Amino acid sequence: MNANVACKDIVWKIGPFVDGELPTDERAAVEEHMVNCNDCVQMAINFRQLDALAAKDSVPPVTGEEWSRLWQGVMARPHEPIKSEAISWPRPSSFKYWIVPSLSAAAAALIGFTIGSLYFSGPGQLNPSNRHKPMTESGGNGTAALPTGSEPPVEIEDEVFSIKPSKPPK
Amino acid sequence: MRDPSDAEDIEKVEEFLAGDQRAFEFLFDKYREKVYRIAYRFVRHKEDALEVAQDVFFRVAMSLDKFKTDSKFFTWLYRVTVNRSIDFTRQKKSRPRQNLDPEVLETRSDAGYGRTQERCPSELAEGKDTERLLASAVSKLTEKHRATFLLHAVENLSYKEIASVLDCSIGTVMSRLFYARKKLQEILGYGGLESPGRGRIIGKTHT
Repeated sequence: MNANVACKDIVWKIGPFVDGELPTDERAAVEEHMVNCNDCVQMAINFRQLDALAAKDSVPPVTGEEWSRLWQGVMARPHEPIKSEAISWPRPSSFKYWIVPSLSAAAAALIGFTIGSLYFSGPGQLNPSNRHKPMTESGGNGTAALPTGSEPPVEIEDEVFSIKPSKPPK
Repeated sequence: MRDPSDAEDIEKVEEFLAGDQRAFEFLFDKYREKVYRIAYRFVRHKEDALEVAQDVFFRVAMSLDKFKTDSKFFTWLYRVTVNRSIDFTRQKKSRPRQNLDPEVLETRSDAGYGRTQERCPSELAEGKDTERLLASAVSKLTEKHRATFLLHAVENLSYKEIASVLDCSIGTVMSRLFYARKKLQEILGYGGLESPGRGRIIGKTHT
């Protein structure tokens, strides 16, 4: 087996493996792979050392006086209504707020036009009497084929994969 | 079954909502260090971190009646902290300080330092400027990746807890953590991690 192919399946699990978050049944597979793969072992070591480095990062101490000032500040502030605390992640700077309603309106118009033209163009697809007939005259059997080459969209920076990914996202 | 610490938190929340201010003071004393620590790692300035912490506790006090007691108090508190810290950082970017700290300036001048050499984390750990280099690298991560990495590596939260704080799935936490670590390694200049399926997995093996 190509070592890289095996690494492709394992690499996503190295972080959870190092963090003790991988289910027991999957740990065995990662351990087995690592016996013969120095690259993945090195990645695991790097991840662990990176975490250790981050944990060492010191924070300036706060004196008792500063804490008491902070507490007084909390208590002294006038009451005001607070919005919910959902985290608002930033949108790309190129995001245009008018684009969603505009595209929605264009899509609705297109769908309406398509349905209308199909319905009113004689014995069309949506005519109830033609519903079970072949879709084309050239040998079509009425079953719609899936478009080729379509894949679920993948958000590269933030894709979600389950705890048991069969294949990493492309 | 609820953790004893969580049960105590909920008890204090209910006491505070019933009018006992000392109950909130208890929660403040219990979590102030953690809130300050998280805020500091985002804003990298003591006074700013204290300002964020004050804002966090004020907001928590004002909106405790909205807190659902079937969830953990600390994950909600952490969420408010991350949220406030991110907001503060955004505002600060839009109006930068007039007098930059020497530490910040030094960090900026070091920004490209790690790119010229390939080093592993243990080699980095030997350097005097490790903290600054790492802080600088973390500050280059996206907000999502930074929050996930800090909550994991520094606050030692489990994936499930991070998912709860950031209001996302465990799969998303895994993904963000992977990319955060990969990016940090690139910035710090060691290894040559590439995404799976794009050829090499690790560039250089340090011996």
